[in-house]
Amino acid sequence: MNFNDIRILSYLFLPLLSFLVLIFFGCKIKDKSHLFALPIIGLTLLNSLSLLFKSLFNNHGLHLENSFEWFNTGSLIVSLGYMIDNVSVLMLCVVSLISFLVHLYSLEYMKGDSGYSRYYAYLGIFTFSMNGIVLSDSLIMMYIFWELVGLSSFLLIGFWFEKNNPPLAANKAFLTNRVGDIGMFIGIMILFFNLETFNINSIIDSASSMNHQLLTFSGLLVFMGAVGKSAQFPLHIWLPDAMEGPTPVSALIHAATMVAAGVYMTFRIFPFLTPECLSVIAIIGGVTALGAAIIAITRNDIKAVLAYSTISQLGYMIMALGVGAHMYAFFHLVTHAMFKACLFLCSGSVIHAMHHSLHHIDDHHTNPQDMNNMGGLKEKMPITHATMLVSALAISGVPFFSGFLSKDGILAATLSYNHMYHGWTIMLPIAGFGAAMITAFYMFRLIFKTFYGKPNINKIHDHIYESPLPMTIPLILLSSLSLAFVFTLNVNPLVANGWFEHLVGDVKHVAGLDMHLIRHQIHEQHNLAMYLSLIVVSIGIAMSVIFYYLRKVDVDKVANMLNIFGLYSLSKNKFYIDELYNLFLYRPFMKFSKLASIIDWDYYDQKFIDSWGWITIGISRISGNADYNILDQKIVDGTSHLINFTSKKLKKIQSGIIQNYLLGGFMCLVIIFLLIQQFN
Amino acid sequence: MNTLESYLFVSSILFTFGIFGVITRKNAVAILMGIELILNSANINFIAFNRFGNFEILDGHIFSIFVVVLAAAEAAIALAIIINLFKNLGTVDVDEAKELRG
Repeated sequence: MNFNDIRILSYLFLPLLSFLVLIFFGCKIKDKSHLFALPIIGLTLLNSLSLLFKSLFNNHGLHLENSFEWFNTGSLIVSLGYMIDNVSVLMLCVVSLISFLVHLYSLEYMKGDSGYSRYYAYLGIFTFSMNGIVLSDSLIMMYIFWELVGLSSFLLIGFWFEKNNPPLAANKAFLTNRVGDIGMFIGIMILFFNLETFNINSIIDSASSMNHQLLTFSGLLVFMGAVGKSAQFPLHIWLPDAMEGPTPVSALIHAATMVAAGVYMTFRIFPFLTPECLSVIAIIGGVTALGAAIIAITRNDIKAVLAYSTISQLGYMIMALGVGAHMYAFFHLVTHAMFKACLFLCSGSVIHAMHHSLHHIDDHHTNPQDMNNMGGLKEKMPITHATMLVSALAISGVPFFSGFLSKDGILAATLSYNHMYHGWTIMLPIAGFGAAMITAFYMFRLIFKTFYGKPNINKIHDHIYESPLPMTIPLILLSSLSLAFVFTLNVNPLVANGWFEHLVGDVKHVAGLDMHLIRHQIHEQHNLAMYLSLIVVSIGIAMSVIFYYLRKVDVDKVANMLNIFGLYSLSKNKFYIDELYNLFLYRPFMKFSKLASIIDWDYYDQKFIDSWGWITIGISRISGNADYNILDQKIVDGTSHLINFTSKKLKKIQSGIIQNYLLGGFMCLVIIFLLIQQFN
Repeated sequence: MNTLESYLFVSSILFTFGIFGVITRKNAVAILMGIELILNSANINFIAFNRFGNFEILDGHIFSIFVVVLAAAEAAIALAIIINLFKNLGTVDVDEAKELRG
């Protein structure tokens, strides 16, 4: 065990230590839990940053690997180990940075909550398991931590379990993820039985020896895990509900890190995904990106807008992987983590302020998350406004902000994909550019409805105050990390090449994709994508300004006009996906379950199984009767009763009067004589 | 009149009276008297059987003399017991002598 091993293990065991201490001794420390959790996560962050610098100044890139045998059953050898390269280092930095900032932010946001120490404990186990996913060198170990992040997500969504909705949302998230995870596990097992290894690098090395169809199939199955975890269509339904959890948790888990784990995992297995498999992935990503963006337009809950926007952005990343732009997928993952975490924390800041204001005026019915109750918060919350504006610009893809770089890369990749394959692939750039326009539109709708215009409810507006320092510091830091300059160190906003691209580098694709050609094509399409995206983003922002800032056009009229085609209600009702699930999966399943329950309970249990009971009871009653009433009462007790009775009678003879005895003796004598006489 | 039956009849009447006395009386002295009657009825039997049975020897007589002697000894002891009873209890009622009863 050398220094590196200890260092890597500290990523796992420091947060785990924080979890264990807080979960067992949290009731003792209570409001001082952060004093324990914060230094630990700070230490993890410093560790990650030092590794990042190490990899930045290492020309050949960082590569650390070590593993040990966990168990061995002869044919099945499972080992645990870590594999660190530049990508994992970046991911570790993202996880620990956002985790640290969320810890800091929660100081104020969760202050006074009865579950304060439990909250920090859950954050600890989440950081532990997320680091596990990033570090693991084998699919099976990744799967273990995959389930652990699912667990911590479940725990944190249902954090306020005393309310009605959070436990339901937690169940929904967990069960929906289950569907994907089953596929992922089957996929891992198919790979294992064909290639006899769980190690990702070994799988990549030997994947070309595998049957092509089987490889496609297993790749799709493993990708199912990502569909669940990264909330892709059709398993995206859990993420909007997951917003029932505390807002900092939404920022950490359901925007920046855990949902990106699916993208990270797909990134890891990308080299052995076949072109057929990748085209399916691209379609799913495109559908998700566009569909979720359309749904986000009509949300009024500030967190729901961000939730659908997260789904849409994750769709971008998945689509990027599908079209072979793995670099831009990961780039978008990192930039998205920064600006989306910032957006969520900003919305948390707004909700926090709304909540306090509502509390102050003693109003417990108004929804603090509804944008219709906000408006005009710009002067009241200048820092929140500024940071949220920066991250909204970043997510919309405006130059000088990080989203522009990563989104442009993805859009260029979809264009080049279409350029190479023609035909249906035209849908991918359409989805990509459409989603980019809609994203710009709904993000500015959110900004305008929340911060600009006249306050909708003056009474609430009067008591809104800017959030305290522990909440604004993460906002400022994250929004400054949303600047393009951070990722390129180049003042020219149109150049995307920088340290980040250099760090991620290339991968060697083993299942029939020419990465060199793809890179070349993307490079060729880059300028076209840039101009197109600038145009669509300006259209989106301009529409938003007309609708919600200048209010030149009545929004309801437009909605009604669109409703002729059913577009508005489609978006309003989230494409009826929940209803479809309800109709085609949930209800038939419940009917089937009810039928099964009737067969099982009413017939099998009540009639068949219970009849044995009745028969047994009848037999027992008879044998009990025989045993008790006849054997016990008559024979056994009868003997004793008889003896008792005769003794009672005979007792009278023992009178103690000699004369009686004498009389008896004499009479016996007489009887004996009589008998003798009789028998003679 | 001079037959065995008449003797046996007398002796059985005597025996019955004796038994009756022993059983019914509470007085220890009366019981002793009953016992004497029983013994004497047995004596009559001995003598009568010896006389009417064709015996060469006088076994019956000798037995009856033994019985008389024993009766005398027994009466002496019995009376001594009765006197002690009277000294201890102040009565000769045998029902009162129940200190040894369990």
